[in-house]
Amino acid sequence: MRDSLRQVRTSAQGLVRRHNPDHRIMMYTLILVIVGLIIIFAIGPQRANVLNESFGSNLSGMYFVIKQGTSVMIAVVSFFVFAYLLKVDVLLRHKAIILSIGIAACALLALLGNLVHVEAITQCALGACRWFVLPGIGTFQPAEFLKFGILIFLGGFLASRMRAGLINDTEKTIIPAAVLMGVAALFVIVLQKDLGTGIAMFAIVISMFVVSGVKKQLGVILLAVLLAAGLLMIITAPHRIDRVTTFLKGDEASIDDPSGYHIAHAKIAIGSGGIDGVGIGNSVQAAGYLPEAINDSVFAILGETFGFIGLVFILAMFYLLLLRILRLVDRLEKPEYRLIVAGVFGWIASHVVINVAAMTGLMPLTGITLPFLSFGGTSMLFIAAALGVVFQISRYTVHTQIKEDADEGTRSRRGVGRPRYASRRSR
Amino acid sequence: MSYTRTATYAARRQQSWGRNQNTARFVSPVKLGPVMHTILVALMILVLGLIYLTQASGSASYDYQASDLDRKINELATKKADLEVENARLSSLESVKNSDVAKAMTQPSTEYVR
Amino acid sequence: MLLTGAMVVIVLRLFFLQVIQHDHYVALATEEQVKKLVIPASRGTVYALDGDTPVPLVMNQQVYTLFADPMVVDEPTQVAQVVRDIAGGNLVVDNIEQNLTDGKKQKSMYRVLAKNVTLRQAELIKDKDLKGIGFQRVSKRVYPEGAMAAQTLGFVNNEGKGQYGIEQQLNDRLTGTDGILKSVTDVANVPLSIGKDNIRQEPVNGDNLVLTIDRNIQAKAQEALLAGLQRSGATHGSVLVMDPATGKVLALADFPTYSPADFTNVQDEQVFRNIATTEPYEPGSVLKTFTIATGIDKGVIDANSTFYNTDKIKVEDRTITNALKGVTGTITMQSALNNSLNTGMVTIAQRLGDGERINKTSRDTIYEYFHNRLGLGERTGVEIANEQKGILISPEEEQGNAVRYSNMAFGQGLNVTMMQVASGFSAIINGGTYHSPTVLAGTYDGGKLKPENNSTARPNVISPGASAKAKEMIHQARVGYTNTDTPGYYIGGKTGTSQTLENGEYINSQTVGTYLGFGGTDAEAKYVIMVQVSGKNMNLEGNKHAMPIFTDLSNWMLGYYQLQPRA
Repeated sequence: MRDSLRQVRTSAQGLVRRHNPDHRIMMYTLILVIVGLIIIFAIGPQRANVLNESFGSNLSGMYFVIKQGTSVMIAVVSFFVFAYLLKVDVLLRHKAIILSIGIAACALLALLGNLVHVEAITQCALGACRWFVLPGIGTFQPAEFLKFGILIFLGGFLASRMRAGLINDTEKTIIPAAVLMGVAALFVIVLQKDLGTGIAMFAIVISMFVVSGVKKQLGVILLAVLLAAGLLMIITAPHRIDRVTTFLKGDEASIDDPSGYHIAHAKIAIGSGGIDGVGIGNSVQAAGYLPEAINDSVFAILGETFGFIGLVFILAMFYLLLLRILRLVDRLEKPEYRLIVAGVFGWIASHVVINVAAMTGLMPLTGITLPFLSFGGTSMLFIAAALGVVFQISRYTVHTQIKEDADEGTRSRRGVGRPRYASRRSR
Repeated sequence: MSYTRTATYAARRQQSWGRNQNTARFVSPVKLGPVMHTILVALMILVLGLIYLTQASGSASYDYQASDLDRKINELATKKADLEVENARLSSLESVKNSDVAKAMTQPSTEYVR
Repeated sequence: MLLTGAMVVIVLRLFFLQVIQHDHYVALATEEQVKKLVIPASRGTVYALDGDTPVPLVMNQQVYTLFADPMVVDEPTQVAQVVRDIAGGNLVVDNIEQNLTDGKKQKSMYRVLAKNVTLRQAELIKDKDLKGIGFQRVSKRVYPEGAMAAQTLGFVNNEGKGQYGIEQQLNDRLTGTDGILKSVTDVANVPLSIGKDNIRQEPVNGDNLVLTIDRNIQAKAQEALLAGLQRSGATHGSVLVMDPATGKVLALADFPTYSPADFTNVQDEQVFRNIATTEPYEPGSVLKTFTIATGIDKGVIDANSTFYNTDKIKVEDRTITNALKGVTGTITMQSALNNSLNTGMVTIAQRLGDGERINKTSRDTIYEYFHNRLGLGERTGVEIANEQKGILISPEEEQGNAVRYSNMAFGQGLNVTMMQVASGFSAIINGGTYHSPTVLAGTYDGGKLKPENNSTARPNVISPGASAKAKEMIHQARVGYTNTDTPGYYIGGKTGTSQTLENGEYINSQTVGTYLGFGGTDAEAKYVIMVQVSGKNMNLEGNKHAMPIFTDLSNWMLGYYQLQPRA
């Protein structure tokens, strides 16, 4: 099958033959997914019982792992669909449609949840509607789709501006992108009150801009605007102020302080894990003490269960995966591909860094998932899709670094100066 | 799967995993691509993990079963005690004396043995 | 570079948290995860006997206190409706709705609506899914026999401590030992088996006690006492029934009484007190049986011994007179007992000395018999709280002079409890063995009665021959009244009417009536009954007011024991 698919593509830079993709991306991802399944299997009974206790539901101990397993299956399917079936170029051609669907889904959610209050298919908490409820299937978070839409759209859009040499053109490039991000921020941060997802979205865009070669001054201005906006976000929401003040108190923050409860328990979970952890199934913090133990706080539970060694291993997996993605950026000729891969890097890196830093008390708390490890289908589905795209793109690398990039250089450089299409398999 | 040694010395870049290794090479008759390798490694980790888990993780759910059973035992004990109290009330002298059966009885004579 | 830096910072941070500060966080985790829970031991239950079968007198019931959080309750009308429908009889507030709205105004979070709700009621209310309603489980003492033997049982106060009666006296045995559960728990306090240092120490439940009280005799004693008090108009009365062969107390009835379940509603604490053990009094002439027994055992008199009665007798500077006058001349001791002549008893006391005076020898002898042998003026050790020892002045004391001892010979100048008198009397008529009285037959465990012997026997306090003679004299003393007894049995008894002391002076306007007697076959006395009736400013007499209660109960006892009458 691989041979039959082998073909030659042309790009603006020249001829790059399609070759084997970078399987390490798949391997690191799979290892992380399996670790995620293991941890959810391990704390599933505790979670189920905590929920049964407080809501009178009747979930079995296997409920969460079965659900997560299903999510993984769906994610694997989506990975392979985007890795092998749907061509990136096709996606790029329909980038506007993909983005529109994302925005439309968010708009529909806002309409149904915030204005019309159709409670049957929306799930709201404290005025923030983040999920569609699809009866019989589960929940769906349109913001994740929007992320994917922005990734593809901006990839195509910025690439076309790059080709036209208009990347630093305020009117033609910056303002449209800013408007798009403003709309996305309106839905995700303001209406859905989901700062974490919003930050990840901006991380995607920033990564893309950095790779696109935007002028430094412009970049600084953009960053300053974003920082100001972020500060505004924090000041306007009381719970965010609480989280920041809690963060500033650091390790001295009291456990009894309600706003400090979450982070204090995350630190207790991580700290009590010690060097080698308490072992699988022995997590106590998952038994109701640590909020969101299975979703956003899963890193802390991993720390409790597997200890320092386990966490370093997991971080190493993420690090290697991210380096692998970063390596691709340097070796891709086509701007679209470079931008998309950079966006995915920003996506995953922002999730990992923000989540882990928050759990260890290095950053204020925001609700953001840890890719592949947190319980939750939508997030995993679209990260898998994005990685599928990256996997597909990894077939079109060359052996030289395309550009000496001071900001995002990697040390894993190979001095082979020939395009990779020269490699040939003999079997 | 058995490996047979072949005499072929392949170019180093034929293997995507081990470049710079221009040494003797074993070629398997069963061709396993990197995808299969990855999946196999992952499956092995999964299987190992599951074996470990079945040993380690069972106890947590038993705790809740035990706690649940404890609660049921308590509930049944309470119900049993309630029934015993009810039984004691119904067979207490006061209720026995006031029962319909007792009212229908005649006063016994103490001179029965004369 | 940025990524590598972030990773390095995070790993360093993890190293700090997990390796350097590990112990700190383990301590924090332990503090919140490890809980020490007390597994309460259940308090022992109390049984009476029905023949030989234990029947419950005091049981435990798990009940629930229904409370509401007015700040959470959103539909006070519905809550009021449901609670009134299901637990209407247990309400502690009259107007639930009002109470809840008031509570909301006062920002109260806890309002008790009903108490003593049963599990079934609680389940029914829980099924309604009302908001802001909660239950608190409490263990309650319940009394299937109502107020029966209330003063013997006592009650358990709101702190779970026994008060009065056996609940107080045997509190330690009834309480048991609470168990301890130290375990890692989840956030809802469900114990988990995760930790390594989990401790589970099972509670040791309190002993289930079986009393010697026979519920049929007790019920009859209460009934007879109540009827007797109604006849006489007396306001207070006590009945004590004892098995003279063993010292087992078969019934102990006091009036006025109360229901232990409603002890909180009792206004006058006096009704909690067990009169027969905690209220020493001057029993009066019933103690003449003790003097007679002492005289016979010492060999100074028998039934037919005579003395010359002038209705008065001089002791030191006092002159002692008889209540009943006119039976003068040379009369027998039997006649002195029958007519309750004080002069006869003083004569016995004199004969215990040198025949003329109640000298030290006489006083020592009386003290030896009354106190050391028959147990007057000493705690009997019965398992009822606050037992009093009374006052019996020894001849060694200045107060223990001849006048004092002449009074004691006919039951005055001393303070003793009914329990002491009935126990000593039992020894006089049972062949001379003193059994310390007990109300505790044993424990009830696994559906079986495990007997305990809590009585100590003191044999030969008087000789068997003397006992038989004294018993016959007491039987003869009742002959004048035997027309009310079921014929064919051997019954005896002695009346007592004692003046009461007020501010150290005997007053004649208030007398306590006492009757002390035994009953059974010719071969063996099966029961000893002591009755006491009193009332404020009332002249109550032994023969008129106390004896009918004895007679009523005695006749019933003969039937209850199905004793074979002599042919």
